[in-house]
Amino acid sequence: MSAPTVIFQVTAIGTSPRALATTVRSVLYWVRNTPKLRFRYLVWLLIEPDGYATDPDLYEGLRTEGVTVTVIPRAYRTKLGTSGKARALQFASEERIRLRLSDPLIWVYHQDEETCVGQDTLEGISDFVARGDRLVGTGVILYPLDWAGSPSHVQELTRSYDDFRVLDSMTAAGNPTSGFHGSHFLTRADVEDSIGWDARGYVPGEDLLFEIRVRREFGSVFGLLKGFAYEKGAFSMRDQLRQRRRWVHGVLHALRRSDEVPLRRKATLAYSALSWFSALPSVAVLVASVAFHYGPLLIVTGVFTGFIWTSMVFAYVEGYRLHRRYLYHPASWPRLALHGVLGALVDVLAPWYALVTRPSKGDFIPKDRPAEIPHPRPVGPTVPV
Amino acid sequence: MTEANATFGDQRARAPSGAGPSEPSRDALPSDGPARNDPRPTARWPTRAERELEYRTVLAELDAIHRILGVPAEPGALVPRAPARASSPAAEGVEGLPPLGDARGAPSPYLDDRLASAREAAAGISTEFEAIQRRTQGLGDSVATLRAELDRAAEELSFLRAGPGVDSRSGSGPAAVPPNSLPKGRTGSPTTPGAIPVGGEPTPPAYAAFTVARYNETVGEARDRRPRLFGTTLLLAAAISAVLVTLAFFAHEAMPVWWLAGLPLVWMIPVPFFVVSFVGTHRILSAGPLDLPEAA
Repeated sequence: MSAPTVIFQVTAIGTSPRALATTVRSVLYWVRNTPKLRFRYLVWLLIEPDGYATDPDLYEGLRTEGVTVTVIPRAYRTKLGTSGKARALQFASEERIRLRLSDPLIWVYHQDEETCVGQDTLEGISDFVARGDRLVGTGVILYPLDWAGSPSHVQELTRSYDDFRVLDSMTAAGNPTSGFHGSHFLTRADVEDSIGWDARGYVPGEDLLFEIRVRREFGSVFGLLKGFAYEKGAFSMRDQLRQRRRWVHGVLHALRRSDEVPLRRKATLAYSALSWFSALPSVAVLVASVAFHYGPLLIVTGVFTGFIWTSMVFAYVEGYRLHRRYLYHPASWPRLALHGVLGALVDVLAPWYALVTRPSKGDFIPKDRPAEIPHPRPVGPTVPV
Repeated sequence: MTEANATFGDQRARAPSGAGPSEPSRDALPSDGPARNDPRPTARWPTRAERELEYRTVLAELDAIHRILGVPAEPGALVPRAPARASSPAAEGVEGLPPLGDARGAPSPYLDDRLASAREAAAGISTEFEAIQRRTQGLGDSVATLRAELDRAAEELSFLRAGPGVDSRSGSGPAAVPPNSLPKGRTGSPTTPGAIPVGGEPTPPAYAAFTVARYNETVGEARDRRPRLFGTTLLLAAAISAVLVTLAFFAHEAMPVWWLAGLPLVWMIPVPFFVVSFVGTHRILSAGPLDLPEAA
């Protein structure tokens, strides 16, 4: 008998070494402080040569702590010639096959450079691999790390609450509202490696393409991964805009260029994208309705306005409630409201900004806390909630 | 400080300060707190009986140390030899020297020095012994930790072997996967949540607070709040919509130009998305599949 093995795989450029170190140390910390996990573990860190060059000592230090640090060779090319994160993920996949780690008893937990785990994350993974009835799982992500209450951080609160929608959609047949994550997801290694990450050219939304491929090949094999992952939001509204632009480019790429996406899935994707794109015109219509006295129009729209507004406001409120046990700086409600509006405006603009700009590999935003943002005190049991 | 040492110190403090030229300096002797701080002037030499008592006490102390160290006592080795008789009777009555005329002779005037040396050696041995004890204590702690960890490892192993789901999987086991080794310098028990974090960071890292208990509290609260949230959302949505429609209705605005009539469609595009999201969110929360068992 063999216990399953979970590979904690952090795939990143490596230019945020402190965030990366914290991420892998969170894994090392909790695997050694969580009794009765039903898996063995490996920690893989895959970075680019440029990232390694930013702090070689730190990466060598991580190696001595038990992390398998792999620098993707510059000369490495995938069969289809993909680039960016997909290239690194494909390298890891081929490495697993080479090491004979592509097996039903091997699982891969994907992390971004700032995806810290907690005891609950590991318990959730343990539960998932022990049940073994689903091939891919994802869960809720919180954003408490380096939280400063800025507009971009407040906007992330809604993402956590929206994850319940993501989980419901992902586990439903057809994924009607296109829910998935690029991090905090667990896959069985043989499934992932049979699917692969390779594609023609740069894929801005490699996670979306992967989810589509798995669903196409294996059907609805997605499960709910218990436990949170703990990440950090964009440090500025500019970074938030760039991050959202990458997401939109990922969706547009799947719609326009990928012949692997089934038509039905393209339709749901298109609708999800259209919903997002409609935000800016909706705001414009609202303003115009008031300014130019479109009373009859308001009678039509007003029926649904209450529901949309309430849903949006409760996304912030409930998102904050999900986070409040993990935040040291409790934000005041007026501040939350103001920053929420600002953060929402960035999200409203993002798809249109993406439409008029080209995809950029530089849209992976920095995750090392800037010097001007003070380091928050660690969250402990005494933190007021 | 042993009782014998204290006696010796007290006696020394009472010794006359104006000793003869052959008398070793009392100030050079090892100090003992209470004796050094005694402001009373010294009055007389100790009597023979007192000296004998003191020597016996010191010898008994040395024997005890030998026994502790497991070294067989050599009766002749540490027993003061019979002191040589004073060379001149004229020395009788000289201040600072013991009286002559005893049948067994007077003790050597260097005996104090020898005793001091012996006492110093004994103190050294005692210190060394305490150090050994401390090291032994540390070793004992390490052994205890090792035993505890082995017990826990055995427990973990039993748990893994008995764990549901592991055996039921098809397919052969993976190639030998080396479990990661503990990092150098790691301290703290694996089951102690407050253990020193890996990497020796100066303050507890934020992730140390991400526990199952906190997670369960959070998702439990979200689940418990769900029915109220469901009702509140619908009520509030209805109220807001009612107010907006009422305001628009009573505004008696003129119908805009025909091409603007399509604008409500833009507004309604995301409505199905919001509805599906609302239903899905409440479905996940009400099913309650997010709870985790508390960590042991």
